[in-house]
Amino acid sequence: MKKIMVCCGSSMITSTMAINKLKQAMKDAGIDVKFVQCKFAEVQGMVKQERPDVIVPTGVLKDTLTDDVPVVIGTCFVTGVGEKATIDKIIEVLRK
Amino acid sequence: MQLKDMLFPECVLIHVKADTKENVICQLYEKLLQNGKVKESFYSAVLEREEMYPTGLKFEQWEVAIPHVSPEHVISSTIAIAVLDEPVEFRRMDDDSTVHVNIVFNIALDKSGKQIEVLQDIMAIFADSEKMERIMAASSPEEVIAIIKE
Repeated sequence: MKKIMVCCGSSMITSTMAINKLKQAMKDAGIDVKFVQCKFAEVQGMVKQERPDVIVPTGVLKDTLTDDVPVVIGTCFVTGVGEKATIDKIIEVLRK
Repeated sequence: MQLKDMLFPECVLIHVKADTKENVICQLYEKLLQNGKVKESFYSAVLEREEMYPTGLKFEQWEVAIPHVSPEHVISSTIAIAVLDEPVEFRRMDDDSTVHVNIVFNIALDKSGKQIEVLQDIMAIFADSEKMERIMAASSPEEVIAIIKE
């Protein structure tokens, strides 16, 4: 079971959009995943607690917060521009 | 509440002249406040959030920005829109560069709206180059709203 942490600014709207799309993409790729969702402000604590395999923020995230966990920026799941390439990148990280 | 219920001609500005993103956001805020859509705290909350988590987005043909805040600063869900004569600079949501924005959607959502659907509907408009071109060329706020509602 892989763990994807999805985060966004404050209201959980864009991260929910990203999770909706990633759920289907991971199902299609045959990867069993669990999602963790939080605000940017909570990332540092949640990374330590949850130890995700990858972090997908919907906007730029300071890399000092992510404790060496790979980050793939997921703004495309909000805009719809460039989703395929981002999904491929996430799958590549998860399969490492 | 859907996107079409959140559009009001008095909160749509065309031929906006502004030098900075702060100025655009301020012009939209004044309309939102005058029309009872947001609280006085809205303006500084939007700027603060924009500073920490910028909202500039790059689409294939258009660069846009979607400044927004948490629902506590909002009285009644409204999408305030500014169509600019000359683009202003916003920082991008997804990297450290900037975009030159022609259209700003200031998204003021209270807790009741279908927020995800609203955002998805807005993104579909940004991705529709033909629709965006018509919004840019619209001659009245009513026309902008009619194009969005199609």
